[in-house]
Amino acid sequence: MASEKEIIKGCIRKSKKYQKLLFDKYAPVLLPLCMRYSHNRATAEDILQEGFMKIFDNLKKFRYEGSLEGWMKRIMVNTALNHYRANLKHFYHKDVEDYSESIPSQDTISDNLEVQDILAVVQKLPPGYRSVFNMFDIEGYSHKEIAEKMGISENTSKTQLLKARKLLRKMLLDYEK
Amino acid sequence: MKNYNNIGQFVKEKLKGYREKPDDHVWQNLEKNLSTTGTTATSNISWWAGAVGVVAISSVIYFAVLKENPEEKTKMPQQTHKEQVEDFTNHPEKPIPETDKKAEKVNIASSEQNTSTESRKNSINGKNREVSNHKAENTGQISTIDSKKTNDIEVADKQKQTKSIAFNRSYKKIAENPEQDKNVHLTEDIEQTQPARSVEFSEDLEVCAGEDATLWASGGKSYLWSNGSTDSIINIHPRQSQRYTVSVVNDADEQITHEFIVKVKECGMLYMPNAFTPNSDGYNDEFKAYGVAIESFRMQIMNKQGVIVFESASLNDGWDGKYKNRPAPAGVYLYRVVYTGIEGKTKTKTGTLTLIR
Repeated sequence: MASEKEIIKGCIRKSKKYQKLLFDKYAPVLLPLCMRYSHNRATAEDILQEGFMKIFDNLKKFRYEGSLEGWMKRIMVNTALNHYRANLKHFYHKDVEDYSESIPSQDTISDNLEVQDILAVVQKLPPGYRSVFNMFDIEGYSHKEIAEKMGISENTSKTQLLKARKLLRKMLLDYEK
Repeated sequence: MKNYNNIGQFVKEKLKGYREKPDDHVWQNLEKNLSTTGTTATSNISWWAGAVGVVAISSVIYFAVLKENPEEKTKMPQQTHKEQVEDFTNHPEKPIPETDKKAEKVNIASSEQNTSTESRKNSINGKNREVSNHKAENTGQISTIDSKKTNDIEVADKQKQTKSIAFNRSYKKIAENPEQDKNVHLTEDIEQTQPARSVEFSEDLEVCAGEDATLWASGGKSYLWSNGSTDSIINIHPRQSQRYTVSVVNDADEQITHEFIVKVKECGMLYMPNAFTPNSDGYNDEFKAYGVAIESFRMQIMNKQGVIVFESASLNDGWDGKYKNRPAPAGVYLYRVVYTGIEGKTKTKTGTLTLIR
């Protein structure tokens, strides 16, 4: 097994072999990320493919500051956001008020939910909420970063996050039933 | 998992370390893209700027390559071929006029054909053969996909020619399990008794630069093309005029070799962006057409009231967003372009553009 450095160097040389190695190693980690940012697997795979093109194109700019995986994840998130922006007009925006029935707050979400189920529910979130939720709660971006990346205000980011969490919780509870 | 605030944590923990392998086609597509010149637009310039770049760069490279570097590969649309092949597979119950269909395809591909192929035949030298070998690597991937499909077609064909129950059963198997059709298909060949067919080939072609085309041979038991494909049909993306050869083994086990001459001619191509930002930042400050191999060109831009706000007779002459020396308002405008490619065809292109301020 080639070391990470060897793989990176191989990819910069545009060696197919190393490019495939990098893909095989990280695609399974990055695909779930892409899936969180998209509404279905096919889109996620499109994003993955696009993201990897960027990764291969820009790998020579990787400065070995921080982990390669983190760097690649950031590229994927950016790609996913671009994708979201480019397809904005195709998305059906469901307003959060549609879900605003009272939520029994004592209900708890069981641990029995499978990863696939959770992913499926996250994919059902409206795209804007989904992005904010993913970036803040999963990737750990700040509201400031999210606001910059998505071209929204910090306050929008905050309210969207709260709404997203609320909606997600409701959807997960519904899912179990 | 009691309140909203840690639902994020819940999801995060659940998804931690979760891995899922993408389908094989993701890498296959990626590999295809990697072997082409195309790079993705990474900056935040609007998407079309990227498109312009790709079009412009690839055309520049294209023509450079045309002269110097036959190994360079470009991305070409392969859609037509695949769609048509699918056409066969989707209607296995209907009789398939395979040769007719193919001939039609060739007609489409060679619809531009109008000058003498003869003169070009002489000008092509042996170097081109090398090129086609290099091509093998390039098209190999597509051909594996296609070969599966073609096998399906052949099997479907044969179904009509035989009444053996055993065969029908195995056909069913193939239908259910197209991945494994290769093995079944081989045994079929042995069982099959059919009248000897004559081997036929598609005609030589003349295609516009950048277009892809299809060559085919039919009536053989096996095919080996100079690009390495073993299909009866190959999809080609010739970068320059070149020869392709195919060795066909016919029903009488004789090997027949045929040479195709594919002539590539330059045709005018024009790309029109659909937006521009005349703010003097150095990016997309002008609305102009991007073209290659254009002989004459004329562009008019109108506003929504139909007033011509800009006219140009040169590709280099773009609109700076001013009308009567004053900045025109942001919004949608219409353009109309009449251009003639060096192949002599005059085309008209109309569309809208957005002036962004």
